[in-house]
Amino acid sequence: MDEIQLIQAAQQGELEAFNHLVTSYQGLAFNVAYRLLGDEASAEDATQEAFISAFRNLHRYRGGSFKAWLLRIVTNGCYDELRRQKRRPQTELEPESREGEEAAQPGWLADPGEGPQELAERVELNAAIQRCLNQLEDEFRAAVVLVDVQGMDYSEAAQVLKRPLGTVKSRLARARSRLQSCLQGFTELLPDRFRLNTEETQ
Amino acid sequence: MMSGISPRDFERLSAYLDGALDPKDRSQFEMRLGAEPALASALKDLDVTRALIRRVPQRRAPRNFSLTPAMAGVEQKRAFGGWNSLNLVSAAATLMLVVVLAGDFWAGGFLASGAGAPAAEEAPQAFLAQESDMKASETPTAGVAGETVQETEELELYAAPEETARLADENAPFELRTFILENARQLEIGLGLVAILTGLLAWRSRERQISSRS
Repeated sequence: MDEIQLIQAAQQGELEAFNHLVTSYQGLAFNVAYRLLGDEASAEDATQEAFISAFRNLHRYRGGSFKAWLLRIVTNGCYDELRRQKRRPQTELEPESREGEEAAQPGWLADPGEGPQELAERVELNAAIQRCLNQLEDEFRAAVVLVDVQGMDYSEAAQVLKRPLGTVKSRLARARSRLQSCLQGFTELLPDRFRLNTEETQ
Repeated sequence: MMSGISPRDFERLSAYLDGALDPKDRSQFEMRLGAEPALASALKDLDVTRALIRRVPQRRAPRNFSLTPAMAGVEQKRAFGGWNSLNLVSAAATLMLVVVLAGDFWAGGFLASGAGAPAAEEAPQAFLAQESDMKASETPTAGVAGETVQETEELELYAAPEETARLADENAPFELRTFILENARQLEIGLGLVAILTGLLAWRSRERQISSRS
């Protein structure tokens, strides 16, 4: 069964067909949620909720990119969660090191060919990028996550965000600009080839 | 924001990197890039930043997010439809089982108690014959033979309607039981056929429910 047939079967209530779609898209959905929320547990909940919502609202899907339709549900769910978190701010339970980086290093990042030094640097760099992402406004972050982290083109990202192409282009540029400023604060973590041009000339 | 680069130019840089400028704007922008070193330097920095963000690893989904029927809210509906059919079949099958077992028990009990059913039918007549023989043998003398004969005739006349009535009373249930005994197999086959037909109807109704849902 191809994707269209699976969608049609799922629209008629076939849960098994829908679960094939879940299997295809769960990695992407989870990654988008994780980069938008910056927290694994919240991303897990948001992903599950998004799939439940997608199944219940499949009758509203009117063709086009299923990926974009599904990711719109994911991003809207993440916006709701972020708004909820802002209304009820929570204290971080995870201890942080003196430098402000996350002390714990998640096992999923481990690369067998990588030495402890490289691993530590990479983990710290990824944490720094996530921190910079977290500082962006929600819709700017969504644009950069969809285009740069997930590799979507502008029109696909525009469908997900339900915004005009020009808006996506402008938000993406501003998001990149802010990320660039933010990452300059983590210069020591950047590999040589990622050191900024302006930094060398300063 | 980079110093000396306007937000508008930064947007053009970003779009240029992604190949999202239309051909006319692109060629104009490339001319500017050649002429303005600050713009070219900003392009390099933005390229580095973009490459850095794109290095962010993709995380594996921590678990399978497939929906269970309960999550999807379809369990109740499906169970409800199937439950009705199953209830119907179960109730019909149970009822028929009870009827068949009761019938077997009744017929079996009768067979056990009347293992000599034909003998039992003969018994009253034999008993009557034996009784009259005994009465005849009890006649003491031939001198009173006339009286005895008269008594015997009276007795027979008197006794005959009673015995007939008793026999008639006993014959009534015998006929019903005999009827059940003779037709027990047909009745069981009939009930079995009804059970099979009910099951088929329930199965067909469930299939219709499933096909109407899909």
